[in-house]
Amino acid sequence: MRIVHLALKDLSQILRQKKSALFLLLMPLLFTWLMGVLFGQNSDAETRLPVGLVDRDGGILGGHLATLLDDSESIRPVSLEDPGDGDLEEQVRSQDFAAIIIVPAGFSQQTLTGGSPQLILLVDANTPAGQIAERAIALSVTRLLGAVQAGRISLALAGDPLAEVHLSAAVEQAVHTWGSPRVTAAVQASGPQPASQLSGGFTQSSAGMMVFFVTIGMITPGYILLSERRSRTLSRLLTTPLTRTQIIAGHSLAMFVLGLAQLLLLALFGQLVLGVVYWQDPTALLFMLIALSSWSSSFGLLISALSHDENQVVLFTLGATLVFGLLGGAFFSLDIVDRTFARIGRLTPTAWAIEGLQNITLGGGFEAVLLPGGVLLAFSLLAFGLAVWRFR
Amino acid sequence: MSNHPTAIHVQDLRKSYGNLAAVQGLTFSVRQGEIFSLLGPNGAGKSTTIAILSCLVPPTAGDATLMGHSIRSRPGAVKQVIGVVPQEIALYEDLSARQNLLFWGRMYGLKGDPLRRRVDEVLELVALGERQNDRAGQYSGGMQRRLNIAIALLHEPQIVILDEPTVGIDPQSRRRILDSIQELKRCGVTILYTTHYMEEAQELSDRIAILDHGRMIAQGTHAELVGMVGELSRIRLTLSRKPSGLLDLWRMLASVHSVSEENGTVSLLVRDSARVLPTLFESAARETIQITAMEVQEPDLEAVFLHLTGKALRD
Amino acid sequence: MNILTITFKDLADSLRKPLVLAFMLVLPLLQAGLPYLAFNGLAGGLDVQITRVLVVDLDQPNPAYPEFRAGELLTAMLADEQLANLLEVTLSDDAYAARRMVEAGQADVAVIIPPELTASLFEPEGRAAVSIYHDPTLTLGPGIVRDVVVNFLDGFAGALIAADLTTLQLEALGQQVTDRTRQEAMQRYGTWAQSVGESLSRGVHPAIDYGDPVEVHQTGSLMKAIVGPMMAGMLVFFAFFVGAFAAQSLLREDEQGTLKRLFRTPLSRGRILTGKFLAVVILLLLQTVLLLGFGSLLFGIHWGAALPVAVNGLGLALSAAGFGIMLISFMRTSRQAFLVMGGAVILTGMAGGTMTTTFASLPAAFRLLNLFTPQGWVLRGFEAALQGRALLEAAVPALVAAATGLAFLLVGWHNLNRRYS
Repeated sequence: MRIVHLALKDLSQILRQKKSALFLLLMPLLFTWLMGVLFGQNSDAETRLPVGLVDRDGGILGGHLATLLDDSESIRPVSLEDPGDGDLEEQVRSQDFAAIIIVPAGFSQQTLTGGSPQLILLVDANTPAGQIAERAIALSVTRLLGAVQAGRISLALAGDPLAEVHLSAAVEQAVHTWGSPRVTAAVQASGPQPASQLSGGFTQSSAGMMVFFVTIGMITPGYILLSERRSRTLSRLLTTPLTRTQIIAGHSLAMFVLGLAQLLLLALFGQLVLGVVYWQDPTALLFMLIALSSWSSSFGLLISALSHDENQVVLFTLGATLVFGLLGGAFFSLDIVDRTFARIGRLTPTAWAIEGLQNITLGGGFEAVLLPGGVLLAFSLLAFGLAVWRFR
Repeated sequence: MSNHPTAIHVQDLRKSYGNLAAVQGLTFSVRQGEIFSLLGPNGAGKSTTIAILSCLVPPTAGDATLMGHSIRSRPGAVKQVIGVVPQEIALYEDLSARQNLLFWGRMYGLKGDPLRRRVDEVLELVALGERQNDRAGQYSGGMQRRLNIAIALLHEPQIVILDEPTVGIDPQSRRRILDSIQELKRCGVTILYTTHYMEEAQELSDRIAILDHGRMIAQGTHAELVGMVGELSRIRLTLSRKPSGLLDLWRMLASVHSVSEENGTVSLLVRDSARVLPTLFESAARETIQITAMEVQEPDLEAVFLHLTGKALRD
Repeated sequence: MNILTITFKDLADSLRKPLVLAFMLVLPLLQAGLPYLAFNGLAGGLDVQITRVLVVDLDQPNPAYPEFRAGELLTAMLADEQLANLLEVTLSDDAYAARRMVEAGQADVAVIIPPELTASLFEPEGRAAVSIYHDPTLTLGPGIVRDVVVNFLDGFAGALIAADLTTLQLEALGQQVTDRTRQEAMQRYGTWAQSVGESLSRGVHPAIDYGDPVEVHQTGSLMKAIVGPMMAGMLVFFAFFVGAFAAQSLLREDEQGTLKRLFRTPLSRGRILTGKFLAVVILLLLQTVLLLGFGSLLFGIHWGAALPVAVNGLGLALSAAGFGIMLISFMRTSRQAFLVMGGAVILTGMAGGTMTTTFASLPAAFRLLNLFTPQGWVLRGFEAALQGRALLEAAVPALVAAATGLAFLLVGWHNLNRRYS
């Protein structure tokens, strides 16, 4: 019971620090909402990368190429006036376009009469956007050539005496058919589909936001505990019948309750306001949130055990959160990075926390959060142990 | 001593931090209902002794019992019978006085109506009732000191340990604190008090122990201690310049018991001050040293300390 | 005593604090070093992760041609040795189980080839879709698998288009359509598609001229394209921390009583505050120079032309120093300062986009929001310099940042003057 009273005292002190509401509520809510809305709006409109199309040919294949490019899921063609090569390169360099394709004069004519003219592609294949655009463009151009080829084959086999004249119509027919090919690939992400475009945008960033802010939120309780140490109230507490372990447990309990309340609020906000699927398996969610707040509270305890003044609390909390975030995939996905780096990254609590929360939004049940949650609990124990050792 | 059972018994207590021996074989007993003061300069080992008796730090050797509970084997029971007033102000500045008291009371296992009643009582005792709902951070230094004491009284401890509770406060607040300590004694509470103000020790204590460098150099009632210096009076002289050989000359005088010098002020313990003073002035004049100020005091604890250690207590 | 005496006293004071040095150099370098390792590899050279692919081939052969199965060909293609360092293919015969394994994170992608794939090639109206079911948190691996599968299927889809077109042409001419003619069309298309495929496997597209590669960032590689902006973001983010920390000396001096003592000297209040402001500016310039230098040396970042970079460095120092003084001017005690400082700097830093520099495409609204913070402007200037834009484009944001910095300073000045008058 004394532990509870100690935790209640801490919580009342934390809530008295009106400025701490900034970390605990205002910032996380504002940012999750903002990111959700911004990214949601983005996906609502157009997420395909813009690709410039300069038609110096004026023949039929330029238009067909535009149609085929428009069929792509990853790029969208934008017709460009021709300002000359140098300016076009500048537009790629300044990232106005992921790539620019130039259809040279005579391209349609030569292709239709059996020649092999080439389109000119301006792209920086070193950027992620450039790589995506390059692949999608290559596919569309192959389909264009395929359409010409199919038209030519059909006219030859039909023995059409006016093959030269009818080729254009046959190519047009073929291009049209590429819009829904008879054999195709259907790509689907696992888990439930997001309820709306808005929540789709939010799902991407929500897990990272939760993990980021639950540890940043430990700045205030870390400060309270630190000032208790500095003002000697901690050593006075040790003259009461409370044991050292009880004292640490009381403080941890306050941090835990605070973290859990913050996470529950964020999950509720995500579900109700932004439509993210968090609560379809409440047991899994609760387990994950409990594991995450255990981690954040032990982390906060350790930070205040290591800090000597208030500024250090900010430095350590922020530094560790950012470093763990970078390693653990909060800033860029771990699947695109170096193999060894990713292995190290997956050792951080952040990576496990993000994985567990994502598993929930992807429709995974209790078993999908068992491992990430379990690992987080193990991290909590480790940090708690270190903090207790340090307090001694 | 036999009339009153023992409240605190300390036996050969030692504490070392690396090579530094903070407490070196301390032994003393405090009777129930007694005010017992530990007197000594800064660094004498008073606070370390208090920290050990409060179960904050374990002793390197020796043991102590408080109301029969050993600090080594039953620290939990010890903590329940003592109330500790630390030297530093240890309270939550962002909570009100009342909230502080309620919180600390709960830490001692009090709850409900008895807790609220007790909080009212101690607020009354330290005269903070009117401002009980103000944030402790807004209090003056003296009020914070009183609240600091009140916290230790909540669970009605049988022993109250006060570590220099009057440091750095105004005379009025100091008076209030000393009064409330005497009030506690009237209620039968045993008090262990540390201070480096000899007037406080003299005014409050039934018995006094004088500590220096972690050792107890004397203990007894005020009268017993002063009796140790016999008829010796203390003379303090301020000299116009550094005395060099003059002090050695004074030490050789038959009625001078001891001489010490700190920052241009010379303290002497002398027998029959009226007779020795002209000699002192004369010899100083011979050395072309002027005596710019002079103070003669009858035997007191300061004199005892000077007598026992050869140095002044107030440094 | 003059202004510079105060400036150098403050500067020395700040540089003696390990905490200031940590915020100045250690954290930003760490934040940029980690992505460097992520995209440059820890053991010399980037080692892309292997994608675990489960292939479920349910495809049934056409009874007329029992030895041909499109599913088998696709499986063989995915398991080809050339892809072995990218894809790790395991076969399964249970589509449901394969999906469950993806959901449980035991596989990254499941490729499910439907029973009717081969049949659809022989039936006039036949259709088939190969399912690619993937972990949504992954982007690279599923992209590679999708490319392989779509390229493969496009060969068949094109052949079917050729056959269907032939059918249409023959029907239009009133001629008989036979299976043989259709297969002939498909075969001819297949031969062509194969030659294109061979060309593509050599990295050459028959109809695309790549010309001279365009470099978006002057430094050129994916790694540097990420590390440069990331480090710029971290420099800006932490500079505002350092600015606020250094400005805290005002509060500390106030608490120690030395500020009042300074005010009692013949030096005017304005000159004292100018001295203190200059100390913060110089500290920030020092931080900027050191971090830019370390960035070039350690990570090979080319920050851009000297002049735009210098203008931005100055803009950063002025705006972060002004912001710090203003923040501090709203606070009473240094004990409380850290909370507001932390909150305000993190909030404006995030809103300014300093933490989202690695995101491939940011919404226009967010880019707009960035400009409501001083950090957003400075970052915009550094990005322009990184991209080698013209001086004006890089200098305008820096000038805006400097102007806001001075405006913040005036607000701070006003507050402090009121407090101490």
